[in-house]
Amino acid sequence: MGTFNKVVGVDGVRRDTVDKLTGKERFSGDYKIPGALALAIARSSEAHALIKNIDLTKAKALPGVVRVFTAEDVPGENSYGIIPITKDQPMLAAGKVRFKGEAVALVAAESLEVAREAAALIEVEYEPLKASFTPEEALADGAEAIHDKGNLCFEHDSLMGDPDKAFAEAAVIVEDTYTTSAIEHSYMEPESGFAVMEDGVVVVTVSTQNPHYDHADLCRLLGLEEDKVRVKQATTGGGFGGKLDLSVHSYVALATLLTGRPSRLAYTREESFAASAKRHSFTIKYRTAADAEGNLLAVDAELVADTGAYASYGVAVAMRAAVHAAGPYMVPNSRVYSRAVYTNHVFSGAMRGFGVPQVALAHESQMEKIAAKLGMDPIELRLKNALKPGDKTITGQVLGDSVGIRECLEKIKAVRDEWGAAKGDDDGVRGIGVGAMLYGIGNTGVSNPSTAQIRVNKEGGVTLYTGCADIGQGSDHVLLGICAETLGLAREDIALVRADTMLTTNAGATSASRQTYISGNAVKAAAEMFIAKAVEAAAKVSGSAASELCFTGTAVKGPDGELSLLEIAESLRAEGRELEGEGYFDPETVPLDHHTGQGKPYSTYGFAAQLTLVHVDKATAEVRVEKLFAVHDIGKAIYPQGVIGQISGGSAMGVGLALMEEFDHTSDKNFDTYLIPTVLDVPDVEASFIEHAEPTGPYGAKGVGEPALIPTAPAIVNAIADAVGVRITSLPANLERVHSALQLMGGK
Amino acid sequence: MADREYLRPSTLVEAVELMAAAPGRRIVAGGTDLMVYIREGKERPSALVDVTGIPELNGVRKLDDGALAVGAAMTHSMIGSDPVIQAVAPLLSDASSSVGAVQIRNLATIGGNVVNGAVAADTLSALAAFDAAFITYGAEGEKRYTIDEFFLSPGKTAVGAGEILTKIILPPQPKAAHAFIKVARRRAAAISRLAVSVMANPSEGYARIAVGAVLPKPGRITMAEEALMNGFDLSAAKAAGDAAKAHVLSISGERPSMVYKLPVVSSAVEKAIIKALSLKGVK
Repeated sequence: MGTFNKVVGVDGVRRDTVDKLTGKERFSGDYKIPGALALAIARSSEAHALIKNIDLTKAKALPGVVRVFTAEDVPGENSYGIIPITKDQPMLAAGKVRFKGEAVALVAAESLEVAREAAALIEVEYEPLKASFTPEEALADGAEAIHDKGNLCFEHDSLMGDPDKAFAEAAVIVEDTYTTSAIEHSYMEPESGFAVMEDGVVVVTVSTQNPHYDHADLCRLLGLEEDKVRVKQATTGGGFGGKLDLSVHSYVALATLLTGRPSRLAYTREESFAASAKRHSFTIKYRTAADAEGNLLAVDAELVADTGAYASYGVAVAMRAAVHAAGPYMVPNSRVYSRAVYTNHVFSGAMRGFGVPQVALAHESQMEKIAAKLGMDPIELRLKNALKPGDKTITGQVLGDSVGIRECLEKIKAVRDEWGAAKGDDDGVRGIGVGAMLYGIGNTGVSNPSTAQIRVNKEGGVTLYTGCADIGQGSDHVLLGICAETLGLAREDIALVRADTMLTTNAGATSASRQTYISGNAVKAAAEMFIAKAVEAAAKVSGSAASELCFTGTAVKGPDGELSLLEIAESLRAEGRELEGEGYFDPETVPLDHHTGQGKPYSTYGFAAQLTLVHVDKATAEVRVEKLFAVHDIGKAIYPQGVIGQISGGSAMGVGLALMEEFDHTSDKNFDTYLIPTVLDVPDVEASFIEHAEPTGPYGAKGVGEPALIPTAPAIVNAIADAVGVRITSLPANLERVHSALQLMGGK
Repeated sequence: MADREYLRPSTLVEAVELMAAAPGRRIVAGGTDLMVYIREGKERPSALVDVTGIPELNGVRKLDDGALAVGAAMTHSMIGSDPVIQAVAPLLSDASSSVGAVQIRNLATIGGNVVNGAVAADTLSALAAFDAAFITYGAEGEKRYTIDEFFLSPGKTAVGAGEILTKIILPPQPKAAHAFIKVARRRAAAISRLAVSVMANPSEGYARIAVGAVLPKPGRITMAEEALMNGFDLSAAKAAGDAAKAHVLSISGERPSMVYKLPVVSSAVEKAIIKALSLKGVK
């Protein structure tokens, strides 16, 4: 069905491109909201302190101030968080602050200038507490407890086989400690949104990755029933995981609910830096055992992540990092111990890859070390150990059919041969490096369904309803493509209603590279049900057998002519039914065992390998990534240009992770000092993909959003090691670290 | 950001009068630094006096003695593409072309780069290599400063409150090969960790070496230049690098950032000399 009208796998201009390029598309900050209150937040000057008193007198006295709110004004439960077991973050600090920049009070005023001036006039009396800025400090005896439960946010154990025995019998053991930095998402559009009251409902329009989660936590914070809050996703200028947490939402909702007036708030870049999630910095102690032929025998890894002042996605990051600790390789024995630890840094949360880019640095560095010890080619070593269909992962999951890592590595090998040996020049040395990865599609070991509906609209066409937030990555285009392909239509024939909690049902978060696979499946199921229903109803009306009828996208054709969708809808309505297809998909998972970490965390995985050629300037230690070849097993490209775009952008982000991004919590206020790669720092990414169709995926598709960036940093670090002969184990590989490596090299 | 008056005089005399007419006024050209300071609240000028429309501050002129007079309001983009500067002072073209990114170079002026006196300002090592002089205009008329007189300390220059930098004078130099190296954490819109300017002509026994971002004020490193007087070869290039490093160490001392910078001063100066003279056979 649908193959006669190819949409899937075909390129073309994405539906939002022209409006975004011409500025027609409206982001939340572009809406004119007459009479809207301007909001400003007074933020903590302390990293860890008890609040002894908040004096609002001067702020309230300022002409133009309408109202000032503190924790006492929060009508519901003043705690939120995406993971149900760690809802530990207040929208306004209650008695205690846990990071510098935490929201303490909220001002609503007639103008932004007045709101900000008033926020600056709020006087907070603090009693400072001892602060911890590393997991080590936070876990040390005598550390001040950041939360009542202590400073260990979450721990996860994983055990398979007998790692001790494997290490005892190994021919080769390599060991190292790897560290990665905190990173700011750096989306183009800072957090922004507005709220209005409509018929007793607080309607929040906001830049977000997860409107249905937002809705649930807003109801909790405001103490409102579900039907009294509505969240509409505004066009969103990037997220990368940083817009999965509540930000401006709760403040505009609170101000509007309690004043009855519209309100709006957009973070400045400085606020976004100070008060939004960061990528978890990790310390990874890693041991790997192999036999003399290079077969991996065991891994033993200890992961510690700085989750900052609040849990946010910390649990998910620590768990996903553990699950992915061995990389895309068959490892029969493993022990992984992973922890997320509270500190007095701004909270860490989700960021593209959820801890996997961090562990990928470790497992891919270890592979190089083993190859060096055994005198093996590093790609051959990877091929020897690469997972195959039917292999077991370190959680004991038996992999299905779509396991394309070997093919990715074969391609990388061919490209490396094409490139030839890396030769230095007068200025410096060159090296080639490989990075490989696997990435589980969807949330880890929990139900994470999506839903979708397709209905006939008044014009007789069809409308797709999805809760899925398109944050710029292109899910609208992908989901419409799947819908069109299944119905035998073109994308343009289908109207879209997206990410509005009143009009659409939950599609889950736009995260975990899950929307193409999970929401794609829900949309496909909805389309199939829609067709079945239309044909069934048409059979009844026409008296033909269903087998004689053909769904055309706009009508059902039979031997005696055709019935339009409107006619079919009418006949159903007479029976009190709707011409509607409903789709639901929840990937099959088995929760991870609490003691052994064994289970089936994901129903499918993406795989990838990347190859880089770098130049290291011997005088200055500057690293230039000259070539980057990427190949990703994505199952099936619904929209190939979108896949290439994701890989290209993800690789650019990977260059930042590898070479320059390091969020300094004390000094980085904005992009003046926090550097991300410019277009000049990123090579032309040669992005490609292979299509190992996933039997459970929509038209075979998996996901690519996060896999795009995961192999990049390891490939760059391995290329630097190839060039200078010294391995950098702490990211970023900045001027100072590369220079130290060069000096070690010079000393040889 | 509060509203403030924006004034755009068309003559030097008018500009000096406008500056004197009320307190707290600031001269602005490209504004790429000043507007950031204003946004951060570090500067709160009562009015902005835009000097970019004044003829004396624009254009490049060859003077009778062979020197080049570069208008202070010339943007880095203009300097980077000006055929006269490219021919006579390509080192300065290269330095200006390394500033910020295209968008910044289209606005920011060389005068602004100079007057701010930032240690890491990209053109200063090039201007030091030229022994540039600086012409200002103020209530007392025109003044000329040597580079040593002009730069006092990091962020501080001799330019008085009502004084306007009009021209930068590049004294004539022998025909020379040159190299400019900027080291930064990324390839655009990044502050220099280090800059090196070299001009050399072996047949004339001529060498000029200056570094940026590691010294409190710009100036030539004569010790390094002298190292080249024994012959413009690889070993002399290395000796010059080491001399530059010794000079920087003697002035700036050891500090955390110097762990990287000091050895790189040496190797980058060496590299710049090799690059300028196309000496082959590096390591």
